[in-house]
Amino acid sequence: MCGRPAKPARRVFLARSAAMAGTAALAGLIGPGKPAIAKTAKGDVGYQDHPHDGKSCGQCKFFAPDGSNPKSGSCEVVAGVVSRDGWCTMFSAKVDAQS
Amino acid sequence: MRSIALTVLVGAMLLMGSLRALAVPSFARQTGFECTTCHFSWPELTSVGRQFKLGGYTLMHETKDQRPWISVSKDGPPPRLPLALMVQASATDTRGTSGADPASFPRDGDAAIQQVSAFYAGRISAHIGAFAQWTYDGIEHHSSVDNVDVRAASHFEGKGIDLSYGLTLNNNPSVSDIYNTTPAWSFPFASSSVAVAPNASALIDGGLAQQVAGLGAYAMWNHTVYAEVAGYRTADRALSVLRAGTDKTTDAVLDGIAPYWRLALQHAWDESRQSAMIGTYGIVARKFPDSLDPTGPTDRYRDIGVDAQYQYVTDRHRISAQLNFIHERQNLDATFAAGGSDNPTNTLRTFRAKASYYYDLKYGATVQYFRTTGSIDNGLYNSGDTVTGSASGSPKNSGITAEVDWLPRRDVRLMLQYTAYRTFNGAGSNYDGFGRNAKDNNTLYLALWWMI
Repeated sequence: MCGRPAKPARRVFLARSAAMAGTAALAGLIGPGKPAIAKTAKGDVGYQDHPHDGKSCGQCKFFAPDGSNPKSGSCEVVAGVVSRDGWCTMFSAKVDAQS
Repeated sequence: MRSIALTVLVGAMLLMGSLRALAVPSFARQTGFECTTCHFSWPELTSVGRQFKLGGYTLMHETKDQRPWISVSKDGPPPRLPLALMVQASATDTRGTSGADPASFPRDGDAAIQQVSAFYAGRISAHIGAFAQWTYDGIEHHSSVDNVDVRAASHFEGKGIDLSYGLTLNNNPSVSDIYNTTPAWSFPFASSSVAVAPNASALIDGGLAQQVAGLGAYAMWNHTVYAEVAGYRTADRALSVLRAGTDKTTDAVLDGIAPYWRLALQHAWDESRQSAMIGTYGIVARKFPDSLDPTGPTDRYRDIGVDAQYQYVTDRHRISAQLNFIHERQNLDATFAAGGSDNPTNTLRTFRAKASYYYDLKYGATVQYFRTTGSIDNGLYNSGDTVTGSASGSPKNSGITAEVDWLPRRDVRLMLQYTAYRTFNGAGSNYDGFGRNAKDNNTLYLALWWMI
């Protein structure tokens, strides 16, 4: 009699708290003023400044060379300046060998 | 079987001949990646695939061109609607069907369109993305919602901290997971829907799939620690869309919120060629035994999983291995009181170990050992039926599944799979009490899997 009624009340409280926390977090994620995730961070894709198995950013279809500095450029999927000689796990060769 | 194989093979060749060379699914069209960038061999994920999922399926390659609403080209600008299609055609041959009720083996020996799925899979906005699947079952001639995982994600980097985090709304515990050890995304990725299957499995091992709604929060800290917590409830009222089209007479009905947790430790080395993970996950759920009368006492299931994964990924050679162990404790207060089980409490233990090798991204071989053991309970497992029953009342089953794969194109998979049982529903021989042996359920499964 003493213990049983408390359980549903506690459950309801926990459920409502979780729902409120979730709503707040969601609002924070999608609310105005947050910058868009345009590209992924270098650290998330194992970016390095040297080639990997002979592959480098200069051979990747996502790489766009910097007009003033041919040694570096930008990437369509990785944020920041990347080296022409660099590499990351998202490397995709310019020529599609499959087709 | 030879004529079936020939039929499917010829069908496969005809289909492939009519395909466009660049037909790939919506994630690839959005990112511009090859399938094999995100997948060890689809659907198993690489580190890039895991990162893409953590990012809420939102990563998209930059483009200055006008984006079309719909496109099947992966080299053009990403389409605004990330739609995709999947077709699975298959044939199943069960080793021993003579003398048994033919109704136990529907479509055995026939080639059939097993499944057709439509996907909305990709970015919705900068922070929100979705993987939502609707499936037509070609055997049952019925369509319903399949896996759904809607995500809101963000990323923080600074002061030595790299944090990918977000929320997930989904309809299957572990569908939100990023590794291929947990039930929703573990091997076998396709299997026969007409073969006889063992009668015991843990609740988290598919027992709640497409029947519940869960809201969870997840985070990956410094590419090392992954954690997720979620709460699942019956997918009713506004959430019933997450089980649209499913059988409400058998769908699980939960009492309150079922907490789900996941914790994993991962590490990558050798310039990301190799990676490993060890983790744990689980759920505690209170389930009404009668879905049509969700009142009164409930059964309580506590599932705890321990898992590990290793991957070696290069373009020429790919190796992966996964281990998964689930311990389930069943407190059958409701079922026992109603006379549906012999014991008030039971345990169930499931172990799976799988290893794969792929050569040149095209040719693959996988072998998996599986074993389930647990409490003997005639009320639960001894139905008295031929083929599907268990004369001993034991949930024990064990065996090996071996599979070879050929991907003539990166969006087409032709697979041959053989499942050999050592024990089935409690025994190796005469398991159902009517003279049927475990090996009679050995299954050869040939399938064509095409992603569009």
